[in-house]
Amino acid sequence: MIEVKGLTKIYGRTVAIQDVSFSVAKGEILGFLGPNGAGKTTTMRILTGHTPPTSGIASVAGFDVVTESLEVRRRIGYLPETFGLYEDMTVDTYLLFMAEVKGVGRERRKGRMQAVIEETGLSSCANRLIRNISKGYRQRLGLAQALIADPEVLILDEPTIGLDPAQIREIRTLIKAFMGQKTILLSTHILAEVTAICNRIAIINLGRIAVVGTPEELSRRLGTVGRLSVLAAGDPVRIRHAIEGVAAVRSVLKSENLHEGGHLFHVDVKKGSDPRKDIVSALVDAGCNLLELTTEGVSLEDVYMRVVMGETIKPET
Amino acid sequence: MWYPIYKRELKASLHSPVIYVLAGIFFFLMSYFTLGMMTEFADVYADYNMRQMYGMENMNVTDWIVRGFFGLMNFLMLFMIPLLTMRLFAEERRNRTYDLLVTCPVRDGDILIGKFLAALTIILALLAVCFIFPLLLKHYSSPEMPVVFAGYFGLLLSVLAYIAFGIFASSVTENQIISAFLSFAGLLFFYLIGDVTSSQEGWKGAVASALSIRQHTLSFAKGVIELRDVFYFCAFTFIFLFLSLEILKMRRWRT
Repeated sequence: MIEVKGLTKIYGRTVAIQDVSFSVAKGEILGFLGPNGAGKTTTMRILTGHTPPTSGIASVAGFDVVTESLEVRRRIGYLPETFGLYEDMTVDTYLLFMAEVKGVGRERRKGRMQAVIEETGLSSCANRLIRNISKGYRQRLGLAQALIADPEVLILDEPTIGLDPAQIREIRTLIKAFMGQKTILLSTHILAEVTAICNRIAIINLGRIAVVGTPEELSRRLGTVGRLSVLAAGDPVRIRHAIEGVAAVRSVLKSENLHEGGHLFHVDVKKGSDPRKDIVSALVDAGCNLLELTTEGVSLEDVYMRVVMGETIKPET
Repeated sequence: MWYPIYKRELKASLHSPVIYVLAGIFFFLMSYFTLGMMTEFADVYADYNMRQMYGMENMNVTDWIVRGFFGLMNFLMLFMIPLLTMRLFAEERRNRTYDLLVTCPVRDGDILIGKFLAALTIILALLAVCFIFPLLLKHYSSPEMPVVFAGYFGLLLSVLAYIAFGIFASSVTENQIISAFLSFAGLLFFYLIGDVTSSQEGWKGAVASALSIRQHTLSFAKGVIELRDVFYFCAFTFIFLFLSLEILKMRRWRT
């Protein structure tokens, strides 16, 4: 539904994004992660026809964002990170205006307005002037105008910014309910939001896409089994020595005495290795009883931090 | 798709106190000076000696009042229109409402036309109310109505050009004050250029005269509709609307 290939945008001498490529399948929610200034907003602006790219191709629903911009704009709902609203209008008249501008037929306008007011929780301020509503309601109104024409594609730039925790949960539930129906590109700083809502993640850093995949794929592609938890019975010093003696073990991070259940060791292993078999052998050789050996997955936060710190993620084989 | 933009813009203008202050000042000045001209005409007309003194034995209401009326209205529009058009694009961009508008399925041209027609509607409403003065004149006297209609036609062409220029000024800046000054200074330049430099001989004087707004309004006030004057105002309007559209498109490339 969204195809981006080799997209580059240069402002004067500043390269905002370079050679950005990714795709979002129909009904999928792609989380767009990255630090401030990484190029998330620029990419989204190009996709919405707000700004043309310097080079590269982007299409939405098969329409090119530059040459068929109008067709693209008919199919998207866009919530920018920062946006203005007509302060002199009431919430409902503003939504009716946006519905009309977005080509919603006269007979459907009121119905759509009522539906999005309901969906975004704006019922209590539907008749109030926009200048008198709170920041949280403004954000909801921004989302409501993106939804008003019931678009196939939603492009949401930080949709939960400025909302309180209860509102954040409501909006996340709403967005998640669109999974399978609408194609959504969602940018955020909040890692928990991505985990809660998105099917896949694209991490952008310094204007380039560093990695795209599901959280599980990303953990795998970091090239490590991450950490291991080793539960063993016996002398803790001997257990520790045995584990540390395995070549692929980077360090034993901490150990806990579980008394009845033995000793639990958290082990950091070297990148690209899987030393589980060697650990089992070492413990057997040391005369210790292995009770449990489990892998601790790499968290999304780990993946994000490693990408932002400039670590290269190997491509999926 | 210009219609929703037009409707919103018109409502926004009518909700703003600025339009009522401007309309109030405009009607006050129009009434004060038009009634002043009428009173003066009546005084001079009644006094034969004074008419002889001024060499105006054949003075008539059309020459004395109708021409003055259109000259005054045209001059006041030079001030009114920049204040009305200053917010059209500058305010949208400053408040970032334009960001959402340009990602809606509307063409830049539709936005431009919607805003242009909204400003024109307000100005036409003001001009329509001022038609009360020619009607008043007709009730008490006998002005040449073809001159009145030609005058109104010329005035309509002038305001089209002024609004186009005001929109152009509003599209180049985010600051409404700068927009107003820019459009006022520009319009004043085009208004006065003929008076200041048309006395020069050769091509300079001819060019100044050809560019002058005021020179092109003189025939209308005499009841004569000349094709070159119509062409001048149409071209002026088209050029500045075209430039505004190019600026709107160019801003997409720069943002």
